[in-house]
Amino acid sequence: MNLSIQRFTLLLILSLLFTFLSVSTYSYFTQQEKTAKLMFKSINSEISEVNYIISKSTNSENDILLFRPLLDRIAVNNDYLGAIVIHDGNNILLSTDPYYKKIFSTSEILCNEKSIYDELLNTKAVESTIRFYIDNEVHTLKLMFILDQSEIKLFFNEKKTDFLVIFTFLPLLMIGIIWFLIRILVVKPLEKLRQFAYYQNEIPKAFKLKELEVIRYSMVETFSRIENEKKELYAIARTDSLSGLANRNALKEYLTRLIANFTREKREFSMLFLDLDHFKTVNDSLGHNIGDELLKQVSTIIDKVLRSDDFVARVGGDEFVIILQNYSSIHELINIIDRIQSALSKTIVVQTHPININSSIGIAFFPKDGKDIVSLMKNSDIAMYEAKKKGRAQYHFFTEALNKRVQETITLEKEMKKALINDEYELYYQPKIDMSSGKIIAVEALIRWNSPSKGMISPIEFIPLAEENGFIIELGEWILKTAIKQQAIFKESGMDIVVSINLSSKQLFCDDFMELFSKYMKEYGASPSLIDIEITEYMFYENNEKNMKVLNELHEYGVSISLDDFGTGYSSLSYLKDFPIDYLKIDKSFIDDYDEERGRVFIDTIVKMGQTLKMKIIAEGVECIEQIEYLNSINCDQYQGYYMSKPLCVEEFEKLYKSR
Amino acid sequence: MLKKIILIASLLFLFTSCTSEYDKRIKISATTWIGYIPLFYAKEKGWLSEINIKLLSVTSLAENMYIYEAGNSDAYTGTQYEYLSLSTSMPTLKPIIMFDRSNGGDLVMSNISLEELQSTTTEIDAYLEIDSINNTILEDFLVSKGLKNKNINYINKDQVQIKHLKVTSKPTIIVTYVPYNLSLEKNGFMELASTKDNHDIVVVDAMFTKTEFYNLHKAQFIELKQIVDRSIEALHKDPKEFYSVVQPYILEMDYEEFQASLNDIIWINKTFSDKLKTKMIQAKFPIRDLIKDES
Repeated sequence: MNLSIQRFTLLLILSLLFTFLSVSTYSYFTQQEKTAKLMFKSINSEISEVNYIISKSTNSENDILLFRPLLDRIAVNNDYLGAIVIHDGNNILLSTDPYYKKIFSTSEILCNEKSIYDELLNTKAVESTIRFYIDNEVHTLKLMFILDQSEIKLFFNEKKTDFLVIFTFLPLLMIGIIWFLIRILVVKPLEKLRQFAYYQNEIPKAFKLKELEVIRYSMVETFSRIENEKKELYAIARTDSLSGLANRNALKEYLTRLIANFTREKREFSMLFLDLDHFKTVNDSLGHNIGDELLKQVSTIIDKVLRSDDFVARVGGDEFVIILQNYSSIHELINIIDRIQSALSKTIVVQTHPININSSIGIAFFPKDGKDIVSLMKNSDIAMYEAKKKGRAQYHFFTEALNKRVQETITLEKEMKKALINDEYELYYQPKIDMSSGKIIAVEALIRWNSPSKGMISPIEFIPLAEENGFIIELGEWILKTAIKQQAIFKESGMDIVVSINLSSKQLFCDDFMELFSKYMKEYGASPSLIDIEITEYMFYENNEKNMKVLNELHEYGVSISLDDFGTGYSSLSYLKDFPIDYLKIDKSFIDDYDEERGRVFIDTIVKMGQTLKMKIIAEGVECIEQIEYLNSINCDQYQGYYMSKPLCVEEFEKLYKSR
Repeated sequence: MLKKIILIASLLFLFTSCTSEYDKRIKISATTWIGYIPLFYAKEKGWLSEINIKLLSVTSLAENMYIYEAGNSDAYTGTQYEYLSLSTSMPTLKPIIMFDRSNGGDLVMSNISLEELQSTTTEIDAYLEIDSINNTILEDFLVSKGLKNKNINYINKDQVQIKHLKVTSKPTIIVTYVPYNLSLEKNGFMELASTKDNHDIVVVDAMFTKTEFYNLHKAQFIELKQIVDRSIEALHKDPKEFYSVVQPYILEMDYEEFQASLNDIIWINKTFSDKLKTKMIQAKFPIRDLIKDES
């Protein structure tokens, strides 16, 4: 049987209490008997004494009354006497209590109880016979001490209360205190030790009892040592001893968690399988120690290049796996890969040996290229071998289509930048016609890339890429400069027309944009009133305050602002109210629907609204005379489109302008 | 478990400690002097037991004082004489409840006339309770009646014994008080003087106890004062009923005598004159700690 300390203590205390109470109770009843006996003896002695005095001093029954003061005094001084009575058997001759009138019979006086205590409580009176002589004749009277039972009971009740308080209540209180102390000092600490031994989650605070404190201290020390060893073992099991990076085990654990999370969140991450090119040669030529040192340095370089939320593990001799989970586009991912490969391609000095080494990287995506660890590892490894096959120091995506697209994008990116240097870009101009006069009053400058190898490349192909990789800022500056310059040339040649320039939001956000703009304006002597800046609704989404500031500055400079493609984005009337817009350009998609009732309603509404807001309305993509007639009927201000002309090079535009 | 033990212990303590409103039974000793008779009325009515007070009946003023001194009672009744006798050895003793002022209730009696006493040359027996106000009254009587130079044989007896004295040929002076005078009158003694005749002697009756005891049982004493007032009111309201209740304590008196004896005292339980206050202060009888009248 298992017995808790708490219960054991309780049993021990209860046993002690039982013994103590038994002895005390026995002692109490013995004492009660003794007290009752003493009380009886005292009363009997007193009655005998009084009897003697009265007997010796009485010569007649009348003399009895003279003893009243004596009897009063005795009755008053003895708490347990209710009254003292002298009677002759029939009549009461004297009573200390005038209300007392009863003479007890012998049977009422004598009690035969088992204990003296019971006898005392049941005895109504103690009686004695007074013998006195008149001449030689003996006379008798009865002297009766009436017991005050209420006082006697009160006395014994008080003793009982004292006993209960001293021998019951106080021991119980003491037991409670002892039990409480044992619980606080022994039981609870032991329970804490048990919990600590079992869960080891909370170190108990120091205990009051020395022995328990020693045990606690020893346990804390032991568990602390075990915990440290456990952590050490855990780290060893998950760390590559050479590089200090995570090992294959750690990679597995990490991927298991990541796959579970990303499956739930339906997100994508990429696995990069990196292998050093010609590492075997380093080992063979310079020795394994140099090879190991190189691996350490490579690990440090990779670790430094990566961001805090990226993960890298060394999974083989010169093989590393990198997990990237936070990137917004393929372009950003390629940037990271470039950074890694670029950092590794620099000369690494190992023990005075300068080593140039490259790396090949294979890329697989979760979940597209693999939904589990094995398939991701296998596919990224395959992609890595593809990169090696293509001449090393390269990266390769596992999906061929993607790989192709990426490679094309990269090529385009390179060519796009090169094209600016080689002056392959050209601005084309599409005229804007005043609806009432039919005259060309403005042109929209539109970029064209005239590649020597690929011919004319549409801006749809390269502008989004330029926006993505930031090349748009450089290209935008060229457009701005060229358009402003062209406006000055138009002006000089007598063509008093407004030139509209499309600006990207990235360009507008550049801190030095206004500086650059005014520089070109001054440089070429362009007239601000003949420059129009075209923006799209998408510009309003971000950096609203900065946008408003730049647009206000442009407006104050004297240039007009056109809102391009109106109605296709997330149009908000508040933009029209807050921003300094001069022209609303209705998108071609609305103009195309001019022949439908619903389409007309939209066009009509936009025109009326714009004009009410004191803006001029330009219809885009106008392709037929009917559209012009309709637009004229609703008082649209200008139009632009193939009906008049497609975008033209400068020379052709000048011809067109002059021909009209 | 601990809670259970504490609960049981608390209950036990409650059961053993809260047995009545007043835990301590107070014992008060008193003589059956007409002035204290309201206490006996209250006893018989059960009012005293309600506040756990036990009344002890004593036959002499001096004995009453000694019983208190011996610690066999917690408070006692008496005149200023019994107060002053004990106050020297018990500095914290104080009067707490006033009962009455004697107005003829204390008497000097004799078997012969005053003139015979003045002219006698033989020894005069003087019966009295020497350790009581009797002594003061006797001394005043002897001086005022020119008997100071007489040969006085002082005999110290309790009034219960004195009341049984028979007229003899020997000149006798008895100092007594109501109701014992009635037995003596029946035995042939005549009244020579009383507190009604001499206004210089002030005899007041009160209850005394020690300050510390009073403070411990203040509530009980305040209730006792109310009970005394209630008893005296009952006396004024229905003397006959009152008499029927206390009659066993004053067997010597019939109803008429009882009523007559009431004329020998003035109740001062509630108020008393400024003149009396001054006299009591002069007699070093403190009145500031008297229990105030609640009504």
